[in-house]
Amino acid sequence: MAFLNTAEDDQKMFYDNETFELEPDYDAGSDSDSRRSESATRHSKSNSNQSVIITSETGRQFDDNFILKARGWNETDSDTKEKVKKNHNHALPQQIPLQRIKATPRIEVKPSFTSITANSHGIEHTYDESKSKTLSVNDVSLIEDNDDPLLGQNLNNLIRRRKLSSKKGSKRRRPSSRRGIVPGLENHEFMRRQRLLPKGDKGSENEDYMRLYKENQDESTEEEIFQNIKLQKDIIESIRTQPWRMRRKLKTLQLAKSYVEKYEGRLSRSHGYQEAGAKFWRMFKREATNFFALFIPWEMRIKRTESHFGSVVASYFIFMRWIFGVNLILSLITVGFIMIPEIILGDPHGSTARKTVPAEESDHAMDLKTLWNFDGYLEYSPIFYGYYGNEKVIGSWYRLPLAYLLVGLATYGYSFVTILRKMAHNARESKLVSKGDQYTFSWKLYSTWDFMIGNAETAHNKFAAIATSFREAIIEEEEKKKEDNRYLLIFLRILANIFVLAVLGASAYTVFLVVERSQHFEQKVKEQGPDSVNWWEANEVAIVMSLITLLFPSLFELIGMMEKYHPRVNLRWQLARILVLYLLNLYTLCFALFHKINFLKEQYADNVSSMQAANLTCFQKNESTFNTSCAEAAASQRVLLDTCWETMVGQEMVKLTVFDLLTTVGGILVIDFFRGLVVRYANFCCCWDLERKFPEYGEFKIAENVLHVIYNQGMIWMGTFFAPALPAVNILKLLILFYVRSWAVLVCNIPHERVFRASRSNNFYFFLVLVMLFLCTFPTGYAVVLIEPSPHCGPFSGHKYMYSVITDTIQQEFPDWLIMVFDYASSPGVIIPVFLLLIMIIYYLTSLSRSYKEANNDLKVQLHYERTEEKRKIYAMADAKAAKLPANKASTPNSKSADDTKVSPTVPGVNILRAVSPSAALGVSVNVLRGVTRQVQRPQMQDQGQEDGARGRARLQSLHLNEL
Amino acid sequence: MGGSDSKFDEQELEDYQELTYFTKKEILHVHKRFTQLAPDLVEVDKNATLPQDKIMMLPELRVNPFKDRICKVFSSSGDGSMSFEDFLDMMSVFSDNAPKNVKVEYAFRIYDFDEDDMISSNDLKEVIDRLTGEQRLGEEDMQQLIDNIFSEVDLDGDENLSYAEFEHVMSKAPDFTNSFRIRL
Repeated sequence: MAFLNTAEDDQKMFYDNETFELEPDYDAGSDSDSRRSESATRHSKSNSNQSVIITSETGRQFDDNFILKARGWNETDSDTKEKVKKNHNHALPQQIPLQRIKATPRIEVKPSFTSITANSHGIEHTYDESKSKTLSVNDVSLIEDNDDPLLGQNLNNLIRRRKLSSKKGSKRRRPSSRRGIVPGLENHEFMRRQRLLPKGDKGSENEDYMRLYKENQDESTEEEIFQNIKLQKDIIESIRTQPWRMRRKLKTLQLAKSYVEKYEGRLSRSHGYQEAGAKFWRMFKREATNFFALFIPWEMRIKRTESHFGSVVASYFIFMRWIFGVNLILSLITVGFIMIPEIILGDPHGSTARKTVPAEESDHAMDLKTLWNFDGYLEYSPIFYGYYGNEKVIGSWYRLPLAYLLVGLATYGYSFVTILRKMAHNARESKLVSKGDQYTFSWKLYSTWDFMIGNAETAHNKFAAIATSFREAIIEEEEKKKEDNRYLLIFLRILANIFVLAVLGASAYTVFLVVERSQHFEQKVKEQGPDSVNWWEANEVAIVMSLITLLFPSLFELIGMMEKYHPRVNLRWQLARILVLYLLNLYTLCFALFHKINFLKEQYADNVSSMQAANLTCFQKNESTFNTSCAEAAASQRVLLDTCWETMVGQEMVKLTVFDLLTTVGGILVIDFFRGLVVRYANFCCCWDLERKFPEYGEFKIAENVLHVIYNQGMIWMGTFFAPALPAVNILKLLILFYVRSWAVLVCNIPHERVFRASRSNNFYFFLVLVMLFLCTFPTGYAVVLIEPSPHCGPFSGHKYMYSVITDTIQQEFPDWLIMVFDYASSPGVIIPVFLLLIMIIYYLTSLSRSYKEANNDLKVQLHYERTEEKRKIYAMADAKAAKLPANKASTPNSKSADDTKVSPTVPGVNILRAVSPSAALGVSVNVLRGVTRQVQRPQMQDQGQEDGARGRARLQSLHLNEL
Repeated sequence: MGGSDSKFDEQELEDYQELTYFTKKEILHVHKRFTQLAPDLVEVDKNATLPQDKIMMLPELRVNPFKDRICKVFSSSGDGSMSFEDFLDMMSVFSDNAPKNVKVEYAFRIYDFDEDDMISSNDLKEVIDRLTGEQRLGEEDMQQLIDNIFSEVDLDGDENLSYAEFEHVMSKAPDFTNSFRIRL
């Protein structure tokens, strides 16, 4: 027994402020044995009058440790329970005399955490007596009847370790435990068990304190320490997700941490450094998150809205914030890589024709009216495409034209990537939801209440809404079969769609018409100065388009009313129609603009030829006869030279953006604010209830508003190539909109009664954004690839097409072999196989996902099967256990642990869980399976719990522990 | 401890960050909210335990039909009173970043009114009653609703929802994580 003594003496543990005086130095290596015994003596000498000090650094006491398990496992023993409670509640015994512990004939050993608060004599005793049983170190009186079956395995570790270090006692070694000491696994098992324990049971809470532990580390091999450390790290990582009380988590965490800190360095020096690095990195990461959290804008504002209106309205603002972020990056790209280099390195303003305001316009160039139209100085500024020079290299090395094109591509690329990443993220969150998994009613019941709501009025509305939706759902369910008045309904719906088409057609026609007209007005401005057209004429395109976006959705809403769809379906139609409207508008605008470009080009070609003729005649005549027609011709030539269609498109887009802002803000003021004012203050002098009946307060139309943001973003994507400053302009716009909207929603809107569920995890918005982005790339792509750039403005002037900048660069700058590679790579010989490969990959992935779905279904079937099967088995086992229980109490722990090993393999739960867990990825969550056990134990408890609850519970627990 | 200054030391904050889904700033904010509930009590002792009715003063809880359940589930003493750590715990579970399974776990506890680890039809009834407020559903509608729910979810046909079944359903619910949140 001598070896035991030395070994265990060290094991005495102090819950001291900083250190757990657990063991002597371990570093010593070969001479560790001698040193150990040395220090052991030292410890044992001091033992006699030591007390265990139980305070943590933060001042929380660890008294709970010393109650440890009593409550968890011996609920039945009411006496014990009471004592525990007493001890638990009464203000912490700061010091427990070691003697008391010494008197304890048992040492507590917990599996999975291999944690021990031990005292040498304790181990010695129990070990001698029972060969394997060691129990709690605690106040003896607390645990009188502790037949905890969990001990076996840890004990194994303990014993084995002891054996390893002493190289003796192989006879004593029990057959190694079934489960071994795979830390990760144990950890999971442990966690699972935690979850499975009856939750009302306060004992389970204390129970884990007992794994505030220490192990007899001086005995462990390096590998074991390593494993333990790994285990502790697992704990640290996963502790957050445990549904425990904070206090308990705190303690567990602290202990795990201190363990890791203490032993990590000892493994090896390099490991220590590695660990220090990792720790630093963790700290850094946390600080970084803390830091960046400060910069998430409008968090409070959104939260306030959220608490007033629930999470659905807030999702609009969150979406808007996301769009804002995207625009921020876009404008950083454009400003940083195009505008700033051009301003710093390019020719200064006024040095070339494309950077100077023409003389005819300079009179008006600073007029507000001119600037308002983004003419004059603004037209000849870096805001627009036309300003940029076509020198291949500006400064010493910056290739602006190339950069311009690449930035154009980068803005699209970046947008695609962010949207897709966001979508993928959301998709991961929402998991695979197949159609068979639609639990309409349960979802309705358990996720309708929006815990965000903190406003009485909203809560009231919510109650009403929920009640209505329940009724609706019930009725819907009942009326699924009944369908009356079909023909009328079908007729109405067809009619409605015809109306909608008519409206869409009208809007497209209008847009086209206005663009055509604008051509005429522009001509007039160029020729006769900006005063020749009135305000309406100058801004007709932008105004009309904004009006359409403002008014037509309401028209659709009216039309939608006659379709009598279910509100949800109705809303979808509505959204789809609005989206089509917006897209149609943008596309018509583009076509009209391209049409205009073609027209201008033709005119230019005509004029050039006629001009040359005119010039000739002018030159042929002598100076004195230089007549007005010649001057006119020169002027018109100048006009044509200045006509830069790219700038024109850019101007149009910027104008649209700005006007859209104005109409939106105007709309908010009129539709929401003034209406709210009227309703509120005119109510008392009106014969009907304004607040309830006709005008009411405005509702926040979330879906329409989201679409509006998307539409706006579409304009940005279309226009950025022609007006690099557009994202920056848009940032301003979004800022203003954000504040106005969030103000308006709090001040004048009422919470909506009908809710469209488009939550953050929902990909619907992002899908719409993606569609928008995709469609917006076409016009720009067309312009880049197929339209000849203006000859006298912009970075691509002189090229046949815009993209030739890239091909030219490749041809001229790259080495020959690389050109060859490019040539070859772009030849059909490569492209076709690559294309085929992609198709094959797609095909493979789809079939893969199909097989996952099938596996999913299989697992579901299996779940059903296991559930019934397991229940049956556990019932049987519980009965068998019940018969054995009294006997167990009497028998030695040894026989019990033998029992442990005997019974465990037959317990199906764990094995099933293991067998299934690899398929977690397939979508049937293992959680469900994990929960099975929990579920199964319940009925049993209820059955027996009624008659003798306490006993049933104890039995259940012992059963359960065996299982694990 | 319980100094009159309501700040935490670095170590505590560190630990809290490790254990919750909050950043440092947010933890302090949570404490601010906690203080607002009962400034006089918390001022004296930053870890003071506030009685249930004080906790329910939180705007989100005040209108919440399950407020008493929430208090009870998160209270470490089990009577609805909360210490700051309980409160932090609650806010963490209801925070944006808490994963779904944690939320589901607590939701189950909240909806399990009689705390028998099963959602029985009585529990369901209670939930429906609380959700509909004044506009109670008729007896027939109620029964219909409960039947529908069981037919959807109750895999083993024992007229009870176990945690496994609950989790299975809720883990697929699109709006759950979104609505099971409380403003920080």
